[in-house]
Amino acid sequence: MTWQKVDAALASALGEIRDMDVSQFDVTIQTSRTPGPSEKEYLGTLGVPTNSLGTIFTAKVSANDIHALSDKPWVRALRLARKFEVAV
Amino acid sequence: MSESSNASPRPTVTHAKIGASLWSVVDDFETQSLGLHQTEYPLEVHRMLYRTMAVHSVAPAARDTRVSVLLRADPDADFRGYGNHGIIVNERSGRIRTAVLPIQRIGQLSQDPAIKQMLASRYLNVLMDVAAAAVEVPTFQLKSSLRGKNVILGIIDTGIDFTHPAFAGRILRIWDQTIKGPGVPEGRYGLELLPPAFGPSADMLGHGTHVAGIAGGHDRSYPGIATQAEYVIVKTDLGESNLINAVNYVFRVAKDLHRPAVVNLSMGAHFDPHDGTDPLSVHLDSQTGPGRIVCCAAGNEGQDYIHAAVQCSSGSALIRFGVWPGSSRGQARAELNGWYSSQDSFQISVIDPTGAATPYQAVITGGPPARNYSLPAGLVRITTPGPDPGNGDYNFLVQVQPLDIPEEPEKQASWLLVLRAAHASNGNVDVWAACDAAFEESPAALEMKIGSPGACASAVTVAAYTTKNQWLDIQGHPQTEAIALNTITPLSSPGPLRNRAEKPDVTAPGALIAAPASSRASVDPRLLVARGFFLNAGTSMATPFISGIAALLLERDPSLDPAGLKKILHRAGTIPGKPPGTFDPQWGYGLLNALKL
Repeated sequence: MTWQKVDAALASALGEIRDMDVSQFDVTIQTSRTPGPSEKEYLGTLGVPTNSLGTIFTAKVSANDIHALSDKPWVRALRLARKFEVAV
Repeated sequence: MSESSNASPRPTVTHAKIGASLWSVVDDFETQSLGLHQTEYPLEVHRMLYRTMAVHSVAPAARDTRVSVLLRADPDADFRGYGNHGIIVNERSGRIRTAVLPIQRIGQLSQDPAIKQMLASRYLNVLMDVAAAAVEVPTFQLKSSLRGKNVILGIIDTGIDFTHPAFAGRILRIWDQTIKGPGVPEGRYGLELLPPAFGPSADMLGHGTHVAGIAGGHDRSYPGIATQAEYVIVKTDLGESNLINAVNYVFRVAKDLHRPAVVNLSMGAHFDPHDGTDPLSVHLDSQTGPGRIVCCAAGNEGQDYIHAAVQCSSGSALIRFGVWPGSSRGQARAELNGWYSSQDSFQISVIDPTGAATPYQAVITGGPPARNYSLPAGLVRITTPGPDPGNGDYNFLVQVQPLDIPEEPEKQASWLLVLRAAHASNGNVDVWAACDAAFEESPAALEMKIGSPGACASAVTVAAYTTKNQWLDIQGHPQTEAIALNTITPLSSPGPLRNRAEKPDVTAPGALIAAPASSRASVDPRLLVARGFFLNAGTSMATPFISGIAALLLERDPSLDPAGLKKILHRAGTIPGKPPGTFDPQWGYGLLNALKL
């Protein structure tokens, strides 16, 4: 686990888990560059939408997935997806 | 039943029943003094020229032009017999009725003994019109003939009332992310709906319908801005991942249809670093470009103590905060989101209302950076990771779950956030109350309250301006809102960003704005101004105003990119008392003047 790639909110949430295998974390995955075919294939196994463009991807993953992603050299940052509110 | 009679070509008017405003209209049409006989003008010109009366439709002969009138009548009088003469009285009973009729039939109707008075129907309390007119949008539309044709308005929000007439025939797609289904390529969840089968989706909160109406709703009394643009709607739960997928979806559909698009995001949060390096902002920056525009709300925290800023080069700084109950997220769990330069190093501690304190916690890099503490007044979790991968600065989280929170504000006790400088050459620390908390007045800072996605560099971020604070509700009762007129709406969040980047970009009318109401959402009756229309206020309302403007400009130039749009909007902005081209952290580059577009 490369903790430097995990933001504070995700790190905090990881501290509360009981089951490492349950896909319970809505995360954004930022890559250091546009992913190549094998990287996209790996992201696809995590449920990342197939036609995603850019370097920001979304997925629902487990703690074990987060551990594995953090160790990928092409992954720059893993962040907990938060909830927004309407501005009214 | 009142009997109708054949009318002579010229109105035979019962003078005593005609109000002065209506009489002057009759006279004007008779003498052709205002050029309204020139039927080559479009209907909008007639409405603008003749603001005292609602002109319904223009006919070759001026006397056949149909106008709207108000009637004082016997409450039980039946006027249906006049339908054969082109006189339509809308209500079947009541003392006050509305009618549409040819000018030449005014005299005929006035002869009916059940009619006590006839008055011109004026454009009163049409707040969207007031708002649009305040920034010269109708004149711009008239001169430019722009209506947003062939442009897509991507409204990512709480959904839309697709049954509302304001959107008839103009919704291309709805991706409802909240109901079960196979989803779309951008996210394998939810249901994509195509016209006319929108049935499963509904806007239960009303926010998305109102926003969509401001941007482009088509209505005679409460018109939106881009009335010929078409909609791609995403109903979302406002989760960050879902928003990213929603933006991808809108732009992909627009690309498939070979059209430019504006995405409207009337939402915000304070979980981010307030410098545009959060994932949603970064993603928006990568997706915008020629013909792909995003407009975001500045936020509504202008009067809230949600930002604390301290300068601490040595020793400690204390930030007092309160935790409040009633969170929509369930059990209250306050969250403070702090940021400081990587040149510095701070240790974090929390003191509860009993005076008990957590140990000081420094940056933790070798393993999980979160620690839990149990204090007499509640549980505290402090997370202090290494430099953030997004911007290289230090981020810390303080989460507080009090054991008890009194409902009465005066009984809610203060907690203390303590920042101890290990070493600090910069010393600036910014902390935002991300949920269920607020700072006490000092050291709450009045600036830097624009978070994601308003912090996105390429987005047009919109502040709100008040154009109306009084209205008649649908019952005819006068209502007021205690906000100053013709200035920045106090709730509008100010910039700049934490990295001093200029935000917001522009100001637009955001209070009080009348726009379509969702038939599935409950509305405070005080805010209902007409059937199917209600008032709302916030930067949520100001943002679709600019989204609509962007759609007009994209019709003019489909390749317009964010930088080009911002240049136009900055040039068209005005801040009272300041020279053109000035930036202000509340106004951005100022209130839009559409005549300068």
